[in-house]
Amino acid sequence: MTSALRAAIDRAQDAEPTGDHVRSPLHALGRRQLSQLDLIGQSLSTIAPATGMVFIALWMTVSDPGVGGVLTIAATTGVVVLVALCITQFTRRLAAAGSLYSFVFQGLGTRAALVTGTALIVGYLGISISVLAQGARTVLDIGELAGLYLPGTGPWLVTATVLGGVVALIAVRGVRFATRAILVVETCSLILIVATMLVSPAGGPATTELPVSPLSLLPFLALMTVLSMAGFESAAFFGPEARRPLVTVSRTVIVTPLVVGALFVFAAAASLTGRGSLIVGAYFDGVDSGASWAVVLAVKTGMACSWFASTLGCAQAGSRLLYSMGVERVLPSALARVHGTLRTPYPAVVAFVAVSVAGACLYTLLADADSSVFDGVVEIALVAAYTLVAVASLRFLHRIGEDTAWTRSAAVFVALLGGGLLAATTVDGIVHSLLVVPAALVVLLVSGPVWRSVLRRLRPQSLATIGAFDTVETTDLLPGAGTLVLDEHGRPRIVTGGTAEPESSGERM
Amino acid sequence: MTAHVPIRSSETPFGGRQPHAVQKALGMLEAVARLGPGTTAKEIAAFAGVPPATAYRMLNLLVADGYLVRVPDLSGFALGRRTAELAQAATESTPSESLRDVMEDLRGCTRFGLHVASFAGSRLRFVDQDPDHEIVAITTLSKSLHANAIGKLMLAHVPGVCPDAELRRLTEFTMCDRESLARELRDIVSLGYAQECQETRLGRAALAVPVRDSSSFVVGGLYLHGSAARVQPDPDLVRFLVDGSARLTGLL
Repeated sequence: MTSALRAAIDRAQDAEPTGDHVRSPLHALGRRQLSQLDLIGQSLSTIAPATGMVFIALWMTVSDPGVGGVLTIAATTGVVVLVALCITQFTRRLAAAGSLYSFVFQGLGTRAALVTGTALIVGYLGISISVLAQGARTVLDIGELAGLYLPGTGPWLVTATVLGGVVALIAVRGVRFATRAILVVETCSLILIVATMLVSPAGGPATTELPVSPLSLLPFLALMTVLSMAGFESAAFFGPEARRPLVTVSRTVIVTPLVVGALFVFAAAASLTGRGSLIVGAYFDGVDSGASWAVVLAVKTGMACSWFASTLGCAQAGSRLLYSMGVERVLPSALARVHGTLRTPYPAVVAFVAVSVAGACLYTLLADADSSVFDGVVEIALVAAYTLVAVASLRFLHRIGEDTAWTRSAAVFVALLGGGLLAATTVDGIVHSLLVVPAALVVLLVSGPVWRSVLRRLRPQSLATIGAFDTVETTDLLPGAGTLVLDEHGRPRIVTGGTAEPESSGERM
Repeated sequence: MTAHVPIRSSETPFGGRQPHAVQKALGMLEAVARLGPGTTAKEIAAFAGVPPATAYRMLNLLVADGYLVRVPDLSGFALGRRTAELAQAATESTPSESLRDVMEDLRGCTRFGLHVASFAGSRLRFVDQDPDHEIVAITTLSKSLHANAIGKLMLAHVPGVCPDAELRRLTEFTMCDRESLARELRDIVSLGYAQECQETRLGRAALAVPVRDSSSFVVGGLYLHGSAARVQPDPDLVRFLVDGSARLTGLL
């Protein structure tokens, strides 16, 4: 062994513990619980690939874009994998409960982080609201199939509330239990959908009516693929709760879009040969499509499970974001409370699910007629978050001096593509007098500076704690190799031998 | 962070060319030891003579496994606790990887705090602490052996260790009567476990079972603590601890 290393290890054996035990700001969460499989379960369920496959089959079957459609979906998957690569530049280096919000802070500072935070809240709440609404609708459809016909909005609202309640209970019960539950549920629905596509005979074009899309077909398919993959990075919210997070979370973030992309390409290809029409007809038109009662029941049950798993995945991820913001006091600190024995952030879970249920009720009562506007806002929010994280990865890697030509190219490519997509969507919205989408983008962009100035006035100390992640703890350091101390702002830093000579610290605002 | 997470033996973090990769990894650790905490990835790569892209990838793996840690602003590195495992001088304060493995595994099976103490040199010293369940006022445990499960376990099993002359009262439940304490210590030997119920701290209960060396001498204890309402010597919990301590035999 080499001399300096040998000396450091020898010193460590004689070193007495010195100073206070400095802990990670996120130490209250249940640590080192989630395995690789749990993380994949979390990501897969948030995406709900089974539902994405059915919607892709719907568009492929009804609009018939041909091989071009399959290629578009494959190319979009490639782009999402590049976004994933940008995200793993962070997940390989830090574990944060705030995911992209905390990552963007590391590269671009407070304002951009708050924009990302808003975008993530809008994105995840949006997905949660729409999947909860659709989940409740599907549950009622299943009831109708079983002979329990409950028309009107009353039963629907009750179903959505009950589903929300179950989601909250499972999410509070424990992160490992929840991720395993959703992995089982999602796998069953995926097997069901894939098997139905494989065994169903090639049929004619479906008769289902499509909602009107403002875009031409292939760009629309690309955007729909992105929206269907939304949440592929949700494992990143669980770094502090994962085993070997820097390895397992990164692997999950890369593998998930690859797996889901493959499933989507399979769904699109199956639809090309007419194998999607049975499932599309069974889900959208029920027994009227000519599908048998049992097939309709199976497909609807699979879809209901998938919607449910997605609601749970969103609630888990969203609650970690709110928890992280609560720890930083960017949001009320009540959100940072963690259950004593279950180690889950229960106020954050309850808050997120309550808003989702309320939102789902409003969505059904008001916006169901025009869900393309709703989806448009969610898409804008997610694309903005992904674009910001790409730019942030560029700046972050440059700051810590670990950038390579490859990471720079990936980040620049994603940033340009994301920026271009945002600009095109804005222009498109203005041209078609659909002003909600550009307005949402403007609101997102100003939310960061506005939020920051509010914090500066109300809780200036939160600006010093923002960007919380799982920092090094005293027990992680080799004894004698440095001492972890808190500076006057409460930020940790490592000093040699308990005296001065601090590590270089980059101030970012 | 990740320092307590062991590498599974089946995993191959450095890919195929193991000896070469290990040499590079050691070169990087040496760089950090030589250049001090806060050394950047570029400096490490230059010092170790490794191409930057390879160095960044290997540094991330060394951090993921706890051999290095990133300084709080993420721009540099310091030596992590697991570096000590590279030297085969496992002392009491640096428990072996297998002890860590077993404890990690056991902690995954219980929601209570689980710690290992050594009785070497007739001193009570915690050598593997549960990072998620801190023992509040841990120093009181070694100072008032009569008032906690692990202390009583040590009194019962280690010859020559006697309770303090004055049995200090820490709570209303602390046992301060010598006769009763002697009786309880005999019970500990015959039952195979020691218990504590709010005797050091109100609201805290604990159980402790002996950990033995390969010659069956008691050399330490496995200590489980939680709220007084939940931690009781029910057969399942005691069996879990006894089985757990059996797995720790010879590891202290």
